[in-house]
Amino acid sequence: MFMKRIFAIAAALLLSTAAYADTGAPDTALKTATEQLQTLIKDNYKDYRADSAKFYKTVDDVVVPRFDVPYITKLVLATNYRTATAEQRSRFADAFKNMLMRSYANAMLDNYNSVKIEWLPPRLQENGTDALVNTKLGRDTGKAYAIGFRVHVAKDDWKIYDIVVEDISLITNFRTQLNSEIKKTSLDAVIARMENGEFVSDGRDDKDASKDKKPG
Amino acid sequence: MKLAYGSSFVALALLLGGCAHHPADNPADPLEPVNRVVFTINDKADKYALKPVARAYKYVVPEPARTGVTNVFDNLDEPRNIVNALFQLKFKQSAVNLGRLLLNTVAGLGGLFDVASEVGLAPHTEDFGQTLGYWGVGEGWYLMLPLLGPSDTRDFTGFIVDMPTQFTFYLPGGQDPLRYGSQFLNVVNFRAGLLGTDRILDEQFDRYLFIRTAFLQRRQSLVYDGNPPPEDFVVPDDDEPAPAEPAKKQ
Repeated sequence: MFMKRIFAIAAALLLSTAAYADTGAPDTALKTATEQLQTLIKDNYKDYRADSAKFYKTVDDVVVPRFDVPYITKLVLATNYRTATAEQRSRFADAFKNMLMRSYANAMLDNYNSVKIEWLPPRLQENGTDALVNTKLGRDTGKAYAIGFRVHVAKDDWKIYDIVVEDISLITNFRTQLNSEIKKTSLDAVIARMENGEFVSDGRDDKDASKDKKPG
Repeated sequence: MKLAYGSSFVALALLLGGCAHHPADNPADPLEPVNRVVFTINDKADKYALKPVARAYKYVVPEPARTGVTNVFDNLDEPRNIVNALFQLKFKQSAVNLGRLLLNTVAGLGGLFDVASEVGLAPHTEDFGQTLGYWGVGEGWYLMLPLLGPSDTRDFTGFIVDMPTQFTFYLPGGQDPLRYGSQFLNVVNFRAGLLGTDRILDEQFDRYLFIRTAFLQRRQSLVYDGNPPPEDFVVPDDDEPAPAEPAKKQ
């Protein structure tokens, strides 16, 4: 009786560590990718500054595989996903991925030596396949920002599907704005604007005031 | 002042009846057409009045002094934090905020210096909107208030209820210059701190929607003391085949 129980406990422990080893901790892959990119920037800073295409390629290789792009596409498009054609879906996925990746890459390049990332213990959700990886981004100005990554298990690996910056979820934000934009114009028009890199630039000061008055 | 306070409280308490929580990407915003007009006016007021003043203020007043101003106003908010932590039965939190108030007022020279943070008493804000949220009241309707900016029926109610925790509430009528002067300084100082984030606004498709989602998510996070339950996203069906033709516009 006693032996049986010990065996059961041992088996359970073994099984659970096996399952854990399979996918690793929720933040391992993310940490590795971030550190890899930081080292790359440190070694090639001048190169990347001069050649942004080369830098984007690096980010594409190192960081993008850590994101669950198909899932993100579904989350952002929400109900519009259903009516989108296969071609629209893949064009949207690419354009959205590039938009996010470029914003992320530019921020990394601008701040790589002035930020320090502190990794907080990840919070596993009840289902065991969803987790929240919280980090604190300390600037050399003394200010700290809370950045959270929502990850889940996809194809036996932890993948990011949302970034939460100071309580603001990127998915929630883009889902709201993009779907409202799609309603006003069309999915193709929105994809085209994203492909043109309209939302990575800055310096549009006065444009939105008139846009707001347009009837939905 | 006091009478207006009382009657607006009653009116808003009635509004709270049907408040449920909605996810930030699909909130209750039945006043959107009005809110958008107010937003446009606020935006202009910011661009041509508040922002230039905040820029000049930032240029003239050095960083340590601006931090001091922020600290003083944060310290004046401590009574609000203390009372609302109590309303939420967070006795330890309330004691921490009381400790902050005493320490910063005395050792921090009237709140100029946040010495409490340095001895481990971290800042933590509570207000009556959060208290209502803690007891299960949802944010209700999203509101864009003239000059005051984004709010919702729950948190605007909280804003009114919290008024007696501010010292300006007790100033006699003759003290109007002090009342409005301090409020003006608070607003300008706050706006100066946000100048660096203006670029984010310019990158949005629709600034009204961005501010709405950001505000509602921020409030939800505050209600849960920084650990809100993750919002469940509605995911479109996995095995749904893509249609061959693009959707026609209605």
